[in-house]
This record gives sequence, C-alpha cells and structure tokens, in this order.
Amino acid sequence: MAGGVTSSGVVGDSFAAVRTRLLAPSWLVLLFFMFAPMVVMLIYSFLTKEFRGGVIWSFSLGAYDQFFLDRGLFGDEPPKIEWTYITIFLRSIWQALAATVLCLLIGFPTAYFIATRPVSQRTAWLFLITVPYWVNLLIRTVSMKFLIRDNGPLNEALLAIGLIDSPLALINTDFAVQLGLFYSYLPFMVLPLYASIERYDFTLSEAAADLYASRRAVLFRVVVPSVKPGLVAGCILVFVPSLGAFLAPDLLGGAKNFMIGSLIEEQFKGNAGNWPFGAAVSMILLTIVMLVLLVMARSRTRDVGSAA
Amino acid sequence: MSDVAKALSFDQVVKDYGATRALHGLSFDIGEREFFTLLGPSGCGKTTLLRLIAGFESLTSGRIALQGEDVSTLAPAERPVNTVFQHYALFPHLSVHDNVGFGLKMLGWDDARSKRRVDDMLAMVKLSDFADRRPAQLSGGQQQRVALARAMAPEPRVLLLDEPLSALDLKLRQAMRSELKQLQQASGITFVFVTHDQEEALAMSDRIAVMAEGRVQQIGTPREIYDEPVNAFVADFIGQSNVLDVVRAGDGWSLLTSDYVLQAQGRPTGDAVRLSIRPEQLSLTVGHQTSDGWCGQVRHVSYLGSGSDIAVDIEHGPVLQVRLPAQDAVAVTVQPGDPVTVSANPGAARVLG
Amino acid sequence: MSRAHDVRHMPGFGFLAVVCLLVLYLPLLVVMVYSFNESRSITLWGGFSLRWYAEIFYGPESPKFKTAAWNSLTIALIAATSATLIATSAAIAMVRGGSFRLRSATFGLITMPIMVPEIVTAVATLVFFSSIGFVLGYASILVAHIVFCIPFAYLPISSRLQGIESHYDEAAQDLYANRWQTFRYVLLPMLLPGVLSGFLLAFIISLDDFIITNFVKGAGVETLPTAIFGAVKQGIKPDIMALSTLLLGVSVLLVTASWWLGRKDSATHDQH
Repeated sequence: MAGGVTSSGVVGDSFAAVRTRLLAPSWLVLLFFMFAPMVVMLIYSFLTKEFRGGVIWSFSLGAYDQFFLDRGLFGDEPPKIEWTYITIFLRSIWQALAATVLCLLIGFPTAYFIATRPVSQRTAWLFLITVPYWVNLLIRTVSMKFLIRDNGPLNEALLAIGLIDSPLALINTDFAVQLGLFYSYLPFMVLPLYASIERYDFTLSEAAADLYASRRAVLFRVVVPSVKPGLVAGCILVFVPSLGAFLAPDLLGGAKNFMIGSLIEEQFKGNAGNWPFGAAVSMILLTIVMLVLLVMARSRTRDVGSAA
Repeated sequence: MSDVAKALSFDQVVKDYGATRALHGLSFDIGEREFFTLLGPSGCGKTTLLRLIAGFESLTSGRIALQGEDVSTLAPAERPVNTVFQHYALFPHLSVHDNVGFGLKMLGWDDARSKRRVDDMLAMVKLSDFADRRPAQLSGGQQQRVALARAMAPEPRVLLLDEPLSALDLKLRQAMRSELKQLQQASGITFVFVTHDQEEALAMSDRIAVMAEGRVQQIGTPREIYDEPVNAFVADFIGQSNVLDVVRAGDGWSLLTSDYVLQAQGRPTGDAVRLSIRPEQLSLTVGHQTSDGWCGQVRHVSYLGSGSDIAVDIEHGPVLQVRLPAQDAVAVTVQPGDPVTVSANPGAARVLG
Repeated sequence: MSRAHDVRHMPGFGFLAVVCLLVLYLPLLVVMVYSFNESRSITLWGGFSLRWYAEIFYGPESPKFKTAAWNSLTIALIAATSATLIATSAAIAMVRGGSFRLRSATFGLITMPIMVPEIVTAVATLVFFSSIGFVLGYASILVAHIVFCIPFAYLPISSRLQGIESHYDEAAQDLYANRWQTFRYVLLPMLLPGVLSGFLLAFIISLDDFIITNFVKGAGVETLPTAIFGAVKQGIKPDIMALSTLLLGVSVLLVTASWWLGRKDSATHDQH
C-alpha cells in the first residue's frame, strides 16, 4: 500500500524539471558520441572507398557487394556468392561457441562449488574470480601467449616432467584462440551463474533425492533447469564479446586464424584501408549481436511470464 | 468535538492510485493533545492517510487542515508535523546525536540551542549515553527511541507514528506501549498512531478510528469501540465476537430455530437484525435447558492458560465461541460431544448497524 | 550430515573450481615471476633481479613509457571523474525520478557502450571523429574514454541507490530538508561508497582499454596498453613483462579497494 508510490506523490510530481536537468549531461554525451557515431558508421558503410583510408561522399553498395558477392578479379563476371568473408564470420561464430562451451564446462562447476561454500568463504572465492577480469585484457592475453608458446614455461615444464617428448604446438592454433577467449571471458560465465545458483533453493535438490533421483538426475533435471536464466546470461556474456574479439585471435591465433575483429581492424589500421567495407563488416557484426541479445531478452520475458 | 480545539481535520479526503480508490472521502477531526489511532487490517488505507498528512502523497480531492490551516498542497518540509517511520529510517551515516539534531539543523537553529534540545530529547528517551553511537550499533528498541526523539525534537504540532512497534519483539512492544503513552502525555503533542494490532490500539489510544477498505467504520474511545461496535466488521476485528442473525420476538430477539429470547442494546432498524456478543459474555451450563439458552454440543475445547475457548455447535444454528475463566467448573470438565446450554449475560448483546 | 549423503555436494566440482583459478592466475603468475629474471632470455632463469624494472624507469625506452604512463593516468583520471559525475546525476534521475516516458530509452542509451561490441564502438567513434573533422590525438582518446566509462560508473552507483529505501528521502523531507539538503546530507553520504566504487571501476576500465584507444589515438600519441601492444608485436621482452606486472599491480590494488568499499557498504546496511 505505502511502498513505491513516491513517484505519484508530491515529491515525484515536481521532480520532472530537475530530472531533465540531471539527465541532460548523459543524454548529450551519449547521443552525440555514442548514438550519432553508430548512425555515421551506417552511412559510411554505404559510401565509396578512398584508397589508403577515408571515404568519398557518394552513395555505393560496394562494401556490401564486396562482402557477399564474388564478381571475379576484374568485376565483370556474373556474381557468385563470395565465401571469403562469410567463412571468417562462420569461423568466428564457431570459435566463440567453442569458447562459450569451454567456459560453461569449467564455469558451471566453479559457480556451483562457490555457491555451496559457507557464506564466509564465498566472498573470497568471488573476489579471486573477479580480480583477473579487471586486469588489462592485453596483459592477460600476452601472458597467455608467453605461457603457451613453443618453448614457453608450459612446454618446458611438461618436457621436464617427461609428460611429453616434443613441445606441444599450441600457439597459432584454433585451440589457442579458444583458450584465449575462454581465459578472457570466464568471469562473465561464473558471475551470473553464481548469482542464479546462490538464489536456488537447495531443498529442491533434497526433495528430488528423497524421490529417488541420482546425483546426476538432481543436477540435470532440477538444478540446471532452475538456474537457466543465469546459464543463458552467462553464455551470452561470453559469446558476444568473443565474437568481436580482436586481441586473442591477433596475438594467439596468428595469420591463418583470422576472425571478425582482425578483419575490421585491418580496414582501418592495417594495409587494407577500406573504410566503407570496415563499416559494413561492423554493421553486420552489430546486427548479429543485436539479434542474439533480442533472442535472450525474449526468452527472459517468456521465463518471467511462465513463472508468474 | 466543537468544545475541543482541532489538531487535524479531514474534509472529504479522497486518494486514488490510478483506477483504484484507496480512500473514499474521509471526514473527521482529531483533537489537540489527543492520542489518536488509525486501526485496520493491511490495505485499509491507514498508512495512505498518514502519508497524506505528512505530505509524502498528494490528495486526489478534499482537504486536510492542521490547526485550522489548509496544508493539503504543502510539501513535507513545509508541514509542522514529523513522522516516526515503520523501520525508523535512521540515517546510518550520522551519529545518534546528529540524527536527532537533523531537523533542527534544517530549520536553522543555532548550534547551542540545537545541542540543548538534542540533549533534552536524548534524556527523555534515556539514551544520553549513546549520543555518539551509529544507529547500527543500537538495539531495535534503542533505534525506535532515537526515531521518536528525532521526530519530536523539532517540536511538531502533530507526531505521526507508522506502526512504530511492529519491528520489536513482544516483550519490548508491551513495554514501549506505556512508555509511548507517557511520552505523549508529558509532551502534550497530538499523536496519530497507525497500527493493525487492536490490543496496542486499545491500550494506548484516547480515541480510535477503525478503518476498512478505505473507509472509516467507527470512531470512538477504546471502550466504545469494544463494547458498542457499530457493525460486524468492527465487532469481529476488535477482539472476538459472535455475530448472530436474529428476528424480533416479543420485547427481545431470538434465533429462528430457538425459543431463547434475549435483550439487546442499540437501535434496531427492523424486525430482522444482527447481534454481536463477546465470547466472554456467554456462559455455559451442562445439559439442555431450552428456555434458558441455546442448546448444543461441545465441538472443541482449547485450553489457553488464562482461560478456555469452547466452541459450541448450536442445534440448527451457528457455532458459538465461549470464553470461560480457567478455574470455571464447567471449563475444567467439558469434553467434545457433551450436551450444553449457552446463555448470554445481561446486556451482552448489541444490535449491529 | 555426512558429505556422501549431502545432495548439494557434486563430486569433482571442487577440483574444477581449482582448475578454474589455475587457468585464471597461472599466466599472470608466470609473467610476474619472469619479470624478475636476470637473464635477457625469456626462456632461461638467470636469477632474481630488478634490472627490468630499472630498465623501464631509466633505460633508453623509458621516456616513451613515461609519456605513455602519463597519458594513461591523466586520461583515466579525467575520464573516470567526468563519467562518475555524469553517471551519478543520471542514476539519481533514473532511480529517484519515478516513471517517465523516456526511461527505458535512457537506460538503453546509458548501457549502449557495454552492449555494443567494443570493436564496433571503436570503428563508429573513428569514422564519426573523422566525419566531423575532430583531429585524432589526446583529446579524441579522452572523449571516447568518457563515453565508454559512463555505464561502468553508472551500474554500481544506481544499484547502490536502489538499495537506499525512499524512506530515507522521506525522513529527511519530513525533518524540513529541501531537495538539495536531502541530497547533500542524506543521499550523497549514503551513496558515496557506490560513487567511489563506480569511479574506481571506470578508472580501471579507462586505464586498461586497448581496442578503442588503438582506433582513435592518431599517430604519435600512446597510452600504456597501445605502447605495450606495439612492443609485443616485436616479441615479448622482459621489460614489457616488468611493465605489465606494474600495471597489473595497480589494477589489483584498485579492484581490492573497490571491493572493500562495497563490502563495508553492505555491512553498514545490515542493520535491519
């Protein structure tokens, strides 16, 4: 009756003018330097490229044409589907998915383990999981590169204890990229999962066990469905940044493990210097990410709806 | 109320939340120096009314006057009333002293005068030794007293208390009742007290307004409310009550299925009315005597320590609750299934509106 | 209850949690250890030494690192301060301003920098600056940092503010505080741990950013991450490991401070 009604009361009514003034700085800064750049990027993706960077202000579908269609070396052949860039996207999606699965396999047991510790220990565990996230991503990726390179400490150690005869070829492989992505975004998986499992009512597990469920059945038929929102959130939080990652593929994957991030970077910083094409690739990436987020938002409202 | 000065008067007070009407045109007065209680179940509108007096909510229509002056459109800070919040809302970053002095600082009192007032207030609630503590370092009862001192420090004309005892345990709650009452009498400030606990209301109030569904059901002294409930809701909400549908039988009233005739207080509006009888106003005899009361069978006996509650199934009639003292001979011996006769003490029955 | 019968216990999960920590910390620990290696070789251990730390402060490349460090620190300080001010005022309006028409649109706008992939933000910012003729350099890095720091400052501040019940505002107004006094004497002191925590997170985010900075920095202006990236392109040298260890230490220090503030904060809030 009393709670949460301030807005309709005296206080809320006269607040409108103050509210506008309080919001003005964020509106101005974000509309001008975040939203407007997105619009300009969209426009750039429809402009004509100028060699060595920049654009010519005339409308062109060239960037998207280049992405999707192959018209031969001189552009005079009948268009076929261009697979080069689609392949890069598919590989990026595959790498991001693999990293997400890796994170899930390690992250779920970790989150579950933390949530079942005594309350006093949980804080320490969460702290340990969070700290690496705040350490510079570049430094973390470089560290990983240092650790797993051919004559790096990992191989040296494995050779020394006789587990392997010759160094493992880890660096510049698909797996190195997946490991790097896993390492970069693991806390994003653990934290939402932990939040869900911590709220989970463990008497449900006891009820299931009482009804003759095995440990495996308790886990997969009771715990996992109950924490699905955290699971979905964790997967999205790992998948989305993995998809557009630049550092892990660039430093750990080498030249043949090109991903979307590197493709975009090359258009602006590297040799390709094709701004409209870079903007178009960015737009396509953004569209995919927004679709993923939309699916998540819809599944969330559906979950909430069915729970009510 | 004409011979007593009015601290607060409500004139057709209406409050809507969207399409829902929370208060349906309330009109009544609260006198100066009164301990006035708004009593009702949750959702009855009592807290809404309190928040309207404080100014946290705005009226949909109607008028609230404080000592004759219309305050309906004033902001909370412009109204000389202060609130003791349900969970106290003590500022956690300020010491007890600074919490109590907060209102005085906002009103621009000079430091020396403010300090004297704060010291007086802390002495009043017996917390002088705790002035430098933070709220988190106090017990629930102590926090409650700080909240009281803080709200009384700026010398409000009316003090509003929003279920201030509900967060305390039973023992402390009972002790605080007499303490609150004494504080009110000593300070001479009008108290408007909101609660859903009828015992609390009966123990402390000068007058009580019983509210339900956004309307005032009855206003009166605790004794009036208890002894002369105006309708079934009040009869049932305040204490326990047996409500009977009866018809006129000669100079009294009887159940359709029984010859037992009883007298009732109040103004009947027709030949078929409802009566209210308190459980402790009924007595029990073993066996069936048709002319002396209603015959029935004991359904259930609950021993309560200070007495016994006995439910009696009246033949072709309702189930009546009877409260007997612990030492009553019948109370000690009756068993479920025993035939008994229930009769009402003289003057026990009241006609409900 | 014995462990074997505790249905909460899942065998092997504890082991995987330890693996998780190992994966997170092993690379960092290895780099830290090797930053104290006397040998120039990054493979062989030549004894404990601080020579690479001396190298980054006094070596031939030290002016480059010092300029980069100065740029990083001043940008992080200004960006985090601006973002915190903007985020605090936005959080008050969003949390205490009741419902209004543009509420969810505003929330979308504020969180946009974390929803959009960083590389896309980087591209968009670069083409925008180029289209309005904003010369790339220190100022362009600063503006970009302010923008992406806003959500990182906003989230802890608004969640702290949501935790402060509106009863405190009402109590202050009931005790004759006007809107400004309510903010100054009640809300702000109670909000302060959240504001500091938001500031620290924004500061770290700015200090650590590589991708956006790399796009909008223009020629000649470097921050520590872009300087490290440039150096790493020629191979991982021990002085880079020393520099990384230093930067890592600063981050850990700041996160610990922010964490501690948050805990202290929740402790004072346990009173009810």
